[in-house]
Amino acid sequence: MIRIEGLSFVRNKEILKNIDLNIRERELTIMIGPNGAGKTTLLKIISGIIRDYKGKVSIQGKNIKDLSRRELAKLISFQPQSEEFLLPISVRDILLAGRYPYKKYFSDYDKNDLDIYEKCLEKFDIANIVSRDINTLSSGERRRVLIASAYIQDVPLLLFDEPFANLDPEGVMDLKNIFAELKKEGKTILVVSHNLEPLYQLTDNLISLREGNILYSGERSSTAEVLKKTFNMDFERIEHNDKEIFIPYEKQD
Amino acid sequence: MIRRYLFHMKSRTKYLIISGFGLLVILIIPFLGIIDLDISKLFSNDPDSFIFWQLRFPRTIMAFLVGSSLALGGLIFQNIFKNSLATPYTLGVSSGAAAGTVAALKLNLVMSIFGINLVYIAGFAGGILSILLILGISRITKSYSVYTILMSGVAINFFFSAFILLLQYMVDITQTVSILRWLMGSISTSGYKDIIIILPMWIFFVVTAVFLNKELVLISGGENFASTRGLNVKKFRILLFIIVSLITGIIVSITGPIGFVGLIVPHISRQFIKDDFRFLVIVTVIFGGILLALADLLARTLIPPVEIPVGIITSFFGAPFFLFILITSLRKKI
Repeated sequence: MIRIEGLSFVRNKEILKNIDLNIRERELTIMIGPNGAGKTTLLKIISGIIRDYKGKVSIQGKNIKDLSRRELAKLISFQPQSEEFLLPISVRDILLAGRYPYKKYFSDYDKNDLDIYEKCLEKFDIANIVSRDINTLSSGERRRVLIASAYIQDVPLLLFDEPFANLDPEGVMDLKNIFAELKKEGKTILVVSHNLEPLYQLTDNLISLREGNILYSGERSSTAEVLKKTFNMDFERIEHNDKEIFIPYEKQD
Repeated sequence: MIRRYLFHMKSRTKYLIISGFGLLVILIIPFLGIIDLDISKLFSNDPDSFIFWQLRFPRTIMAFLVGSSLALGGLIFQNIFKNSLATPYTLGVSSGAAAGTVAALKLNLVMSIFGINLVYIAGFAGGILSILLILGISRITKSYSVYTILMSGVAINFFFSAFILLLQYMVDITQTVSILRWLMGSISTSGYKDIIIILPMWIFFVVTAVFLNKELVLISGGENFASTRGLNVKKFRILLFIIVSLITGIIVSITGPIGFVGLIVPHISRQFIKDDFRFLVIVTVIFGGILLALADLLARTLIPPVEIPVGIITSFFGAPFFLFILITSLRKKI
């Protein structure tokens, strides 16, 4: 699905150092790493926001540099950690913006777009807030709307940067169910998260990034080891009700 | 109470009511003035007919076209810069256009090339120059923050004001008076000459803005939001800058700079239309037109027989209103 070869990126300092990476189709991959490791930069490169990198990034065999923004937006959606809307903007307008890649200049959203939009409202249970300004929503509602806006884009590949940040337990549970459903639908999902717990059961692969290098990329079997290397701390693995939780307990010397 | 009721209606209904209201206001305004008109004489060879058809009617239409263009320019700039304080007036596009126009007048460039008056071209060039300066500063500082852009706008405004003063100082005293009067901003038209120039531009501007509503929504969500949904932000931004500077340049060269319409009207419109940007564009056009037509009505009736330049009216009422909005929105945040 995503193939990255010899990717380097420099801005003031070397942020990504000659990275090779493969992300398989229909799988959920979690990317971990300390702050400043280059995780967000990597997402921004894959989603076409940053273009002045060295190396090659391909999605479904196509080099993303050869794709127009519109073509890329039909393959991939990216949900940054915080999307800032400084002007009042309605949930309706944000959602319909997800249909933009399929539209030409001067054409309005048609019945097909509106059908998808209606389905999306139902699926994410947000029909009652469509007229509201996104800035007046709770953080749970806001996240739900933004994920719905990624979903409405109807792409095979979804990228998320810290989707669980600032959510209360109810919001976390909610989001977890949404991810389960996205995975069931066959979406390829790449999530950057410090919090492994909510998605761990759904996770197929783990990527660890540290100081611009890939420390680990593969199945999630040796997670405690990977965490230890990544964060330079020991982690204890606890099993509870068929769930695995990793708790940091002591910094290594 | 009215506001609460309006919020519960769908945008489409609100938009229809506002359009009807706008049409009504525009139809009534030409009948109002210092001299009472006899409606029965409007279609006869009478001074009343002349006052109505040659003075008040074209003037009201002109005020509507100018007001709606300024308001729409404001809405577009607010969306591009994601800030409700960013308008062609606050960012110095209007003062750039004014400087261009005054320079053209000073150099006596009152001639036309291919039917386009050079004064308009000079106004457009001045507006574009302001935009290029702001973009240049943003590029050098690598910051598109509100602070950078607004501060650049303040500096550009000061610079062009000084330039205009310098030119005024250099011209003779009769020209100084006419430039000064023009700088205050007024809609004193003679017949339909200016309307014929502005109308095609206005139609182009409004139609473009309505059709580009999707892109305007995307760009208001920021560069990442827009580009990950397939919009080429850089190209689109340049396209909008050119269109808005063109319209602002031509309007300023005809009426002089008229402030606060572009700032206040989109703000009011957003209070009414919250959920559908397409209607917001149209309602902004209507409100902008009505506001300036009403301001112009005040300008010509407030202290008869003196006619106050409409720019003074808009600033006089606009500035306190703007402060009111600012204070209430800040108080809400606390």
